[in-house]
Amino acid sequence: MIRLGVALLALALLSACASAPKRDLQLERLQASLANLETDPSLGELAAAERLQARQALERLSASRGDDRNLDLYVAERRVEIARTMAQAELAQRQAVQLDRERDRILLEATRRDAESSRLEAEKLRLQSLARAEEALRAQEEAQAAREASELSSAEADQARRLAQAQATEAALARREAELASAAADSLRMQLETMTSRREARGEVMTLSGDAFASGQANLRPEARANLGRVVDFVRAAGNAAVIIEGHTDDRGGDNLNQALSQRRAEAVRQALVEEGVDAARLTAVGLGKNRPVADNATAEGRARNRRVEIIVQSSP
Amino acid sequence: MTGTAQYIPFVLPALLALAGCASTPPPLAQIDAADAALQQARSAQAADLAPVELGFAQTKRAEADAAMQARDHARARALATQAEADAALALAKSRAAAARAEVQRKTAENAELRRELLGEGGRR
Repeated sequence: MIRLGVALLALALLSACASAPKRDLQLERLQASLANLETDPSLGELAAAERLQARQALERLSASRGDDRNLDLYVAERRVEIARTMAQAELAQRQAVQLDRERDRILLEATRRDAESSRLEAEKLRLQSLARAEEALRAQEEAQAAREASELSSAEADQARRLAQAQATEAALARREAELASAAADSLRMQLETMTSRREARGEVMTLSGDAFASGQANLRPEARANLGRVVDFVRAAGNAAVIIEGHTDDRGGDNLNQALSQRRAEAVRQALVEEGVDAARLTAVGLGKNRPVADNATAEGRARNRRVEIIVQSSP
Repeated sequence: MTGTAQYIPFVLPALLALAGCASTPPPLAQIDAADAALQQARSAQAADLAPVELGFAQTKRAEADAAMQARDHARARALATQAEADAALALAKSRAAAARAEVQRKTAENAELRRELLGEGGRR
C-alpha cells in the first residue's frame, strides 16, 4: 500500500516536471511522422505545398511558448495529417491517369482488332465475289456449250425422229406385209385344205394355185409344201394310174422364162409328191408356159388364175 | 534604482497585461482564412466524403463567431485558426476519397472493357 502510494507520488512529480518535455515529445512524434512521409518511396515527392505547410507548422510549434503551444500543436497535428492525406490523394490521381491511358490502350486494341476483322471480312467478301464472278462466267460458258449441244442434238433429234418415222413406216409396211403374207398363207392353207378335183375330158384334175409359189419362184412355199395332203390323197386314190403334173404361167415376161418357170414348178410339185411317198414312176412333170391360159391375162385376177399347176390323173383309156 | 522607481520597468508590462484582452486586434484574417478553407472543403463534397472533419470545422467557426460577439478576440483567433486547420483536413480527406473512388471505378471499367472488347475473361 505504501509502495503504491510512493509510486503514484513519483509519477505525479515526474509528470509535473515533464510538462514542458511532453510538448517536445509530441513535436518529435510529429517530426518523425513527417519524415516518414517524406521518405516514403511512392508518397515522398507528392503534396510538396502541403508538406511545406506541415514543416512550417512544426517550426512554429518548436518555437512557441505558453498558451500558443496548444493552438500550434493542434494546427501542426492537422498539417502533418493533411500532408500525408494530400500525398495519398495525388497518388490516387496519378493512378487514375494511368488507368485512363490503359483504357485508351484497350479501346485502341479493340479498334485494331475490329479493323483487322473488318479487313478479313472484306477480303473474304472480295474472294467470294471473285469466285461468284468466275462461277457466273463458267455457267455462262456451260450454258453456251449446252445451247450449242442442244442445237446439235435437236438436229440429231430431227434425224433420229425421221429415222424412227422411217423405221416405223418400214415396220408398219413389214407388219402389213406379214399380215398379208399370213393372210395369204391362211388363204393358201385354206385353199389347199379344201382343194378338190374336177373331172375333165383328159381325166381327174386338181389345180394347185400359183399362190403356192412365191412370185417368180419355182420353190413351193413352206405352208404349201406342208399342206399337200389332199394332192397326195388325190394321187394315191388313183392307185397306180399315171399322173401328169403341168406347170402354167400368165403371159407376163419372156416365153423362155415362163417356159422354164412352169417346168421347174411342175417338177417341184412332182418332187414333193415323191417325198410324200408317191411312186416316182407314175409322175411326169411338164412345163407349158403361157400356152394354156384358162383366164383372161388382161386382168390381174385372170393372170392369177393362169398361174397354176395342174395335177392330172389320166383317165384310163 | 531603489525604492518605488525599481518597479517602474514592471508597470507598463503589467498594465499591458491587464489590458491584454482589449488590445488583441480582431482576428479578421484568420476568420477569412477559415471561411475560405470551409468553402473549398464544401466544394470538394466534404459533407459526404469527410463529414466528421467538416463538422469540427463548422463548429469551431461558429464558436469563433460567438467569441467575436463577446469581443474575446484571443479566443476568436484561436478558434478560427483551428477551424481553418480542420477545414483544410476535411478538404484533403475529401480529395483523397474522391481520387480513390475514381481509381476503383476506372479499374472496374477497364476490366469490363477487356472482357467485352478483347474477350479477356477472369477478374482482375
